[in-house]
Amino acid sequence: MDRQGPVTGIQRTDWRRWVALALALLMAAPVIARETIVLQKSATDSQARGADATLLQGSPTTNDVGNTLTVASATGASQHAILEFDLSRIANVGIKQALLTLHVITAPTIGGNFTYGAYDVTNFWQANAVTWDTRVATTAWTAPGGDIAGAATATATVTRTSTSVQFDVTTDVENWYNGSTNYGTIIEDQAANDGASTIFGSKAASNATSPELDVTFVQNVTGLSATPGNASVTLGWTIPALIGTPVGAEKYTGVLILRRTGSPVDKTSVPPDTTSPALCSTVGTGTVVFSDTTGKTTFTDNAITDTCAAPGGAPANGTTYFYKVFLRDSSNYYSAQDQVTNGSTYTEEISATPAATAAARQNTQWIAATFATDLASPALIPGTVVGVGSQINLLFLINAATGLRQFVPVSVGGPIASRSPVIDAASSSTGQDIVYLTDQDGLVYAVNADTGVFDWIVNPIGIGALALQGGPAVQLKTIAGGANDLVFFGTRNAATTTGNQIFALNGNTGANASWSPITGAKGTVPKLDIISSTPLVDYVHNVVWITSRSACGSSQPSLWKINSSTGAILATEDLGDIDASPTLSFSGDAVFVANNGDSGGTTCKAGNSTIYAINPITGATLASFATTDGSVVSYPIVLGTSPPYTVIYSGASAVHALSINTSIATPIFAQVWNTTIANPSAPISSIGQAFVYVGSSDGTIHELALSNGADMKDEVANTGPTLGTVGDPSIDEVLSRIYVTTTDQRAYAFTIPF
Amino acid sequence: MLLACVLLATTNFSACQQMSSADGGAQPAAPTAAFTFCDHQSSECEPGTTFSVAATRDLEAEVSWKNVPPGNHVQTLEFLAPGGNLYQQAQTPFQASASSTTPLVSIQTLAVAGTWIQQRNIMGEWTARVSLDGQVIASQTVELTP
Repeated sequence: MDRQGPVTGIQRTDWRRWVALALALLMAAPVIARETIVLQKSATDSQARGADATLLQGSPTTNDVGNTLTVASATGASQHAILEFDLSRIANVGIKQALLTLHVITAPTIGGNFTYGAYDVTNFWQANAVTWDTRVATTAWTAPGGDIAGAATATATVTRTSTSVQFDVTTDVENWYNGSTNYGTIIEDQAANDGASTIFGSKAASNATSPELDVTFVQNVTGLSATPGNASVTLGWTIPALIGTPVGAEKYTGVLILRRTGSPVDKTSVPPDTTSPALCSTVGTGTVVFSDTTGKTTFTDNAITDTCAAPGGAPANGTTYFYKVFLRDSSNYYSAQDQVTNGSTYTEEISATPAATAAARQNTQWIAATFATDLASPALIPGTVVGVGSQINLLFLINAATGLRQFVPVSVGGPIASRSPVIDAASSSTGQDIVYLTDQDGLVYAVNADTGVFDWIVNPIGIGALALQGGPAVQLKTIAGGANDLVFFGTRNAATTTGNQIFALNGNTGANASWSPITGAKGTVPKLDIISSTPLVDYVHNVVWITSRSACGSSQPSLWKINSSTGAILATEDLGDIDASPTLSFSGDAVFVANNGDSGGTTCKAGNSTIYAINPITGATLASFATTDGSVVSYPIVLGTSPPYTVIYSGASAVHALSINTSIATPIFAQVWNTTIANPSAPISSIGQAFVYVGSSDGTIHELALSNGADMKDEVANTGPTLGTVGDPSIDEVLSRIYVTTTDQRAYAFTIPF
Repeated sequence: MLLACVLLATTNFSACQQMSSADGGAQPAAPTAAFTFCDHQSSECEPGTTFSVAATRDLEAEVSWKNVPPGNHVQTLEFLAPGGNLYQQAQTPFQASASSTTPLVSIQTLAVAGTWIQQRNIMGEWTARVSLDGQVIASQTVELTP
């Protein structure tokens, strides 16, 4: 767009029209370019997630966080600087360059050239705990002095006259935006025992001498939408506002759009920077269906605009198309990274399925990359934020409305294999929006959901063969009373069938509650096998329900009722191995739980679940139902505000509905309906909804009629070449949306009802 | 699911000596890696290539390295589900000593019991792929059956 032309001929006497037109042009014009930003602690950038410390070989157990960072090479007294930047100001971008600068406070006092290396850190660490020997609390580094990549990402020379040192860490930063964990950088002297020592400013120093990261990037488009029509799909997007300083005379000029049928365009399918792939050409698994340098913000993909040969060409009704939209600048730098070596490139994606009738059309509201498989039900503050973990050690907080990252993902120590609950500030005793999560590193975290800053990190079980599989459950002070929220979880230490543990942590501090932990086969505590589920907080009875395995038998407990205030074990039931989480009825008169249906013998094998209705007062079984469709997936759900209830569960090949009237003396389960679905996820619905939703290994989400189980309509997540098994859904009643994650390393949002 | 106990251990398995090409001028042999899988709970962790999801608690993947150059390294082990989607990834930093004549063995555990693998029947041909410092060195399939 020519910003000069339209101004010609405006009557200069009407200054209001001038101002209005100028504003309109500024809003509409592609005025932004490849940008550079300086990330450094300042009056406007607290670098809240930034951190640094010096690792002291001479004092290997001392945590050294202060006004300086030191790099030294001396026998038995070497020092490494470890640092991490807060990249939250550039959450949705493709990285082009990243230069790390350290400002020298005291240069080496001896002559010579000293080569310092910047290394990507390869293990999680915590600034207020890290030492030469340990990275988190008592958890040791694999190699004392910090776990680092085999080779330096960059080197720089330091002399006695140096005032600053700069490292090109572009590769590392690009990888952090491509799904690699960001554990920051270690600076160390490349030569052993050369006697040189350099003191740099730290984050805590005066702002001018704090570490600095100069990042050049291209933003993603925002507000990406896809509207299906009859043999057409219309895409819309917005060119984002400027974050940094444009590079030279470059400016954003438009977008390049790749399309693929059935599945998202592969993550590594990226247009090379400074090139302009031709319309209809192939870039990886995508076809260029739109290439614009005039600032357009909409594109209708139909028989007129898309004359490419297959796999391009006019969209066919009934087929799902995935679009990957790259913002570009005048030098053809794209909102992606072309140095992709391992993993994915994050940019905006969307999909739609055209159809002849409006009722048959469908589209995603947004798609977000998660970089590894996650099948847990996304956590959310309805209408605000969606929380998704990933088995590549990342936690994503996603804007529920737009699908954009709230901030760059939070790197944690291990894979996240469960739902990480998000609590809103009004409900949390911390007074802030907060996420609690457990990971396979054995750590438990509280993360500020607005900033990504760790509130606390604890290692309650000690690192080792223990793992945390199930997610945490939070008991809110605002409902249950007490001094603070409590966070409950159990351990999955597969090395023991008797000695697992149940924890309760102070939600504000991470400290153990007075009674925590409960350890199996210790004192009067019965044997406790592995826990893979998330506990159930029962506010009606002020207890916590926890399920566990039971060594493939029924001679030790698998259902535990714990007083949440005292830790007293109020009841246990020997129901056989249980991996599914328990569910409480709306009125609190029954707990529903499904065992694994193990067959015993020499080899324990999961079989067909039995579902139990449990009296929450006594823990006794009210009723049971032997299923015939494998083990119940994740958890059963209970619908209805009072008896009789509808209990819906997923087995191996179908979704099932039972009814039960718990208000009568001897309640019994009765089958209501069964609907065949390939490998269904846990179901979800809510009070007042006419539908039940389940994900499937067929790559879709099924909308079933609550009344009879009829499969009313399916929405496509990924049914193509990279078919994605769809995980447990979450419903956002504020935005009327459903969120799912899939094995294709993405999260999806759809409008409900379908 | 990957147990937190990612071990990097040295053993005295002399048949797998590393850095054996010390005769003058010869190029050092390229790093290699070999996989062994076993059911972590079974006696002596007997190696296999097919495992029942219903009966396996943890699947142990042992990676035996040869010819790793001295210095700091990072092993990346990826578990790819049938169809090729990345299920889980773990990085393990380690140091290889120039003087060591013993093989480097990394043991990584993929949790199976109570996980999505079991609950969602993610069965078929899985692939374990290992990289050294970002370069893929080896991959091996393993069958997970009902």
